[in-house]
Amino acid sequence: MPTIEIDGKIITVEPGLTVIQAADRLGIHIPRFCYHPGLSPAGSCRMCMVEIEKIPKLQTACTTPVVNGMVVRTDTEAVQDARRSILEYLLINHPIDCPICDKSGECLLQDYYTEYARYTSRFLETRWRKRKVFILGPTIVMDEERCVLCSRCVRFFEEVSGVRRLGIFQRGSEAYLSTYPGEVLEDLYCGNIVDICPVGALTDRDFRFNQRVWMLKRGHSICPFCARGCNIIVDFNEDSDIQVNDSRVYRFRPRFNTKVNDYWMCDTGRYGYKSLDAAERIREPLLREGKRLIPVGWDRIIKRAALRIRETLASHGPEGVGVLVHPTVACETALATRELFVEQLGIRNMSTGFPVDPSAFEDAILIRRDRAPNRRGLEMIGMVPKGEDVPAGQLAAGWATGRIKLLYVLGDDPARFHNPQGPSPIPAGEGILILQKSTAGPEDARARMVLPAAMPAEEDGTFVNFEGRVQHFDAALAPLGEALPACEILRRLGEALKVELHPECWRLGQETWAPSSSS
Amino acid sequence: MTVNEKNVKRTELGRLDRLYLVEVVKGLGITGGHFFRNLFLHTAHLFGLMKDRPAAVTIQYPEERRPIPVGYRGRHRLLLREDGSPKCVACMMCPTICPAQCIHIRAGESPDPAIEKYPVSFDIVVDRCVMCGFCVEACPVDAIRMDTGIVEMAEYDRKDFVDGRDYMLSQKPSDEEKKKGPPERKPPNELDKKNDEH
Repeated sequence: MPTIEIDGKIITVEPGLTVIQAADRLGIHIPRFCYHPGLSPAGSCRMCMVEIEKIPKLQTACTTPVVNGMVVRTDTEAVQDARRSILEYLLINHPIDCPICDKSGECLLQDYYTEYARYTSRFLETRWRKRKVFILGPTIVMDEERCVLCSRCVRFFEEVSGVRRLGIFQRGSEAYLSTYPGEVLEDLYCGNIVDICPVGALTDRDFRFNQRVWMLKRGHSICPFCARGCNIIVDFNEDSDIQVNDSRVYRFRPRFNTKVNDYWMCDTGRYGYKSLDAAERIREPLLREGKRLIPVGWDRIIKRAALRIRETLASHGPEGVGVLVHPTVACETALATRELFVEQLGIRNMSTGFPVDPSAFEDAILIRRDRAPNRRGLEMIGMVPKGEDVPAGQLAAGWATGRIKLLYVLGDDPARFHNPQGPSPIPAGEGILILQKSTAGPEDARARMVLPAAMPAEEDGTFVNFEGRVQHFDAALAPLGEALPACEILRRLGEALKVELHPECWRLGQETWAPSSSS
Repeated sequence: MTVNEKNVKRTELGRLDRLYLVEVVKGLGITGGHFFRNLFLHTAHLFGLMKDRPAAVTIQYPEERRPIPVGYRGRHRLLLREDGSPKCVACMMCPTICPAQCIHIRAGESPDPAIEKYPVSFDIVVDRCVMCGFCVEACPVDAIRMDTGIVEMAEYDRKDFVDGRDYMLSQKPSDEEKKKGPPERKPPNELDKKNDEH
């Protein structure tokens, strides 16, 4: 185990690590453009030059492996000078259009310039002009002038996504980044190259010009669109004065978790942020009056729902009530549901949604065939009472034949976010249908009541991903409109039903499922 | 604590002063003098005479207005490029710096890749504005100025206080600002100038 000294701090690391990785562990930031911890080192930008004792010339920290007894200095005059020179070189042809650049505010070039450089240009020749708004593909737009040719995006497609889609062509000052001739940049993981681009060369056509990054707040959550459970950062803006199109959320970005998603996420999840502010979101409780669903207050709908449940239990017994829990709800909601309907009301007709679609797309990188975020969690909780397993199909059949007089559905159909117009898994039935969910769907036309629930980014909870990894998440922002977290709806329902719930039943989640190494 | 004291001697009133009547007549004389002088001058002004002598110290608003000093911050205007398109690049520096949060910009993709970003809408809620001028300072492209000389802001409706993009683009600088000419600038960097030519 080599022990090295960086800026007077001593650290022992495993052999094979590079100097920049050791420095990152010590919390010493060495400026970098081409180095990204999720990609192989390239050593092309020369920004991470450091002074190493007994080596006469400066070395690139990203390609120099640690050797026992190495003494590294990252703040000497020579290092500062090298950084300044590299920045001067990179900025020769840079347009310096920070005011209109989407990266401005999270741009490494901008940060390093203000930190190390601050010089007046000495360049006397004419500036090299390149393509400005160059559309690479349906999601990515490129600005050649801003590119510093770090090749992070090139390596991303080679090493992570697995297909070479970008390359650096020509040489010297004529070098440029592009797709291979005649190709359009289309990939399921395209969005990541925008995140890893250290400058504003690659920007997201979806996010472009909507917000400046410093106007956004950051919240942490878990992506709810497949069983992988990628850790995400939610970038949102709750200030209605500076919102665009009345949207609160502007993008999802991957959050580093080496056990789940590394630094990456797929585009389905990335652009899934739109579902949080979608027009289909249910903004207030809806109660059926005649043919229409009319918005009513929470007190009224909770009282009405409790009354209907009580009536059905009195007339048909627990057999007359069915509870369907989609695997999109958090473990806490599932536990509270079990406490309320199974333990307290004695209902046995309970099921956990519908099986995984075997024809759904899956790959070896991140995307899972199972589009529900918490199927494993519901399995582990044992949502269905032991020995009395009621498959979803049986529950649906009971509902369709009229044996079940009241069906309470929790959570959204996981297929809904991927195919909003798709058919509803809940068949037509004569009884009372109560839906507790976040997004409108075709089954609403048959529902007696719709209770608006928060989406995962808007509530606390725990998801268990397909590997059994328990991941707790906190609410990033407040629920949309009148919507409430699912546990709160169940708490109010329990109150109205006058049943004694275990006072901490939704907290069981956090006790039983201690937060794991998410984040 | 020591306090600096100064004894002021009060003026003793004489007999005539104590009678008051004389002083009242003196005062009426001063008031009357001004009254008749102003009455005469105002009448003369009506016939277009003696215009060079002001009739009273009062400014006859709104016919007369106090000259607005150069640099006085009035209602905002947006500047145009030489080709008539808005100079603004919707960089959001002004809404970022604005302490009253009264600037609302919607950015859009310009068909011209050299411009790239332009304001689809640019609204300033003037009755919220605190006239600090930070937006003018923050603008990297000199697209917004507060030199219209419009300082009276009264409207019949609250919504009329929202200045839209096209209204602000149509505004002109005040006469005083025009007289002063374009604002003083640092001599352009020779290198920038050279680069801009290409």
